[in-house]
Amino acid sequence: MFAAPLPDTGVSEILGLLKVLDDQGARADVFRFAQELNMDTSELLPILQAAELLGFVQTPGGDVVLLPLGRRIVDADINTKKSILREQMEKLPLFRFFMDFLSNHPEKAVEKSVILEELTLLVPTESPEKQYGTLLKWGRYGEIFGFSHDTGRFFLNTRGRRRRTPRAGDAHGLPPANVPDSPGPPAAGGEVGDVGGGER
Amino acid sequence: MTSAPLVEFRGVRKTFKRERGETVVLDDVNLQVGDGDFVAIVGPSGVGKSTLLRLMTGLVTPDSGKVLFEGRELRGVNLEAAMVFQSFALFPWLNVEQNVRLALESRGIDPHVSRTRTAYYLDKVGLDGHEEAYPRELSGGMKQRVGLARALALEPKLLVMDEPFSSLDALTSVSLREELLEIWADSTLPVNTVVMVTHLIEEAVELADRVLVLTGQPGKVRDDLRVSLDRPREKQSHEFDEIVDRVFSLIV
Ligand SMILES: Nc1ncnc2c1ncn2[C@@H]1O[C@H](COP(=O)(O)OP(=O)(O)OP(=O)(O)O)[C@@H](O)[C@H]1O
Ligand SMILES: [Mg+2]
Repeated sequence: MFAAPLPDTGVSEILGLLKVLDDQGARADVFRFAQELNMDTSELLPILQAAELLGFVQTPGGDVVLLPLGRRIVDADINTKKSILREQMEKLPLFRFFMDFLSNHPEKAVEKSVILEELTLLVPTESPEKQYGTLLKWGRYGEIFGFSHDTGRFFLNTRGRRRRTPRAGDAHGLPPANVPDSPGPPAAGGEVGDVGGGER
Repeated sequence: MTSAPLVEFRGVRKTFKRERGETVVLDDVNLQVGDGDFVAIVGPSGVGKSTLLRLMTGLVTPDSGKVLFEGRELRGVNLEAAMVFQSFALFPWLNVEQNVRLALESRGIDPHVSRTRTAYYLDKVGLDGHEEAYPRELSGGMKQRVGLARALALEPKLLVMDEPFSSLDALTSVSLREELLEIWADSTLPVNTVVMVTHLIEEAVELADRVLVLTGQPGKVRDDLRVSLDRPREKQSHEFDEIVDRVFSLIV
């Protein structure tokens, strides 16, 4: 099996890009967009690729267009953004592979070197160290993976997802149809229900 | 309830010793910050913006004049204020959770309380899942979220930020500005009042209710502009540009 490589960028950049695109009317010419951001097109490219891979934008013929899910994540609050990102990451073949791989492991964790070996096979064209770094960065944000310096192991984050109850949805309503298992609100009008004080 | 402003400067003068003599950095500074305000401070480099923030946090004391907090003159470090730094100021040998906990425990907060509070505020800035990460593993944006969580966890009445986004790339700072506004507007969080130094006028106008313009040598409050644009603010709008231009013309 080969998997699409993860573009070398982070969640903050992706979210920033979506916000700027939304501010500009949800559609822009890629070249002009880069100019306005004072970025080189080659700097912008991995961020665009990541946003596309995650289902937030499309890039038809030199333009970049915000998709409904992209709009939804822009409007969402911090923790809803996080759960939308998690759902999208969990659909990526590379993520699926390591989620399966780790859940079949009795300790749900393996040495970093094992992950690097797998990455060499899965995405042979890319630097495994870089892919590992991105997998960990994204995976931490999505609360899917982690790395413990105490054990020296890359692990499946089961704690985060079991503990997390569905949050009130973002202020703009219904979960999108194209996202399975969306943590949408159980009832309408729940957007102010997340008081949050209960954890204190 | 107190009717005094959260922060008040009355005729504040601050000098620093030089090799020969001394320089007056700030002179006759008068200002008020109300509870719930988001105030941005702009002005040329060296005008005394960071010094002004340090006066609010009690890390620096005025040579004359008064700095009042909730109507009382500040003496020593202001325990009701917390700072977010441009350079993040995280301890590299501590992980994310330990960095936040250390700030709490060094203020005498019980370890049991500090643990739950740390978890609560890491969640608020979206950092669940990063507890065990070390600063070197994090992007600038994630480091600054730790900086923000650490300040929020102190549950200060005043959050002061010294150019918090200026070492981040353009897109990363876009997402952090958004998140900061969300946190400021969140009535379930204790922090209501923000004073932020920035060198980006657009950033000031995007975020703040008031923009204080500091100019001169010594620095003085040249102007105090109210930004009454609706939120979320339309950065592409004519009104937005107008205010940016006005602030700009006051500085140059
Ligand atoms: N502890 C100090 N000892 C001596 N001089 C100082 C001290 N702190 C600041 N200064 C001087 O006071 C002046 C104002 O400094 P300050 O850092 O407040 O300016 P600023 O407006 O924040 O500048 P910048 O935009 O570059 O951050 C500068 O000339 C600086 O050199
Ligand atoms: Mg400064």
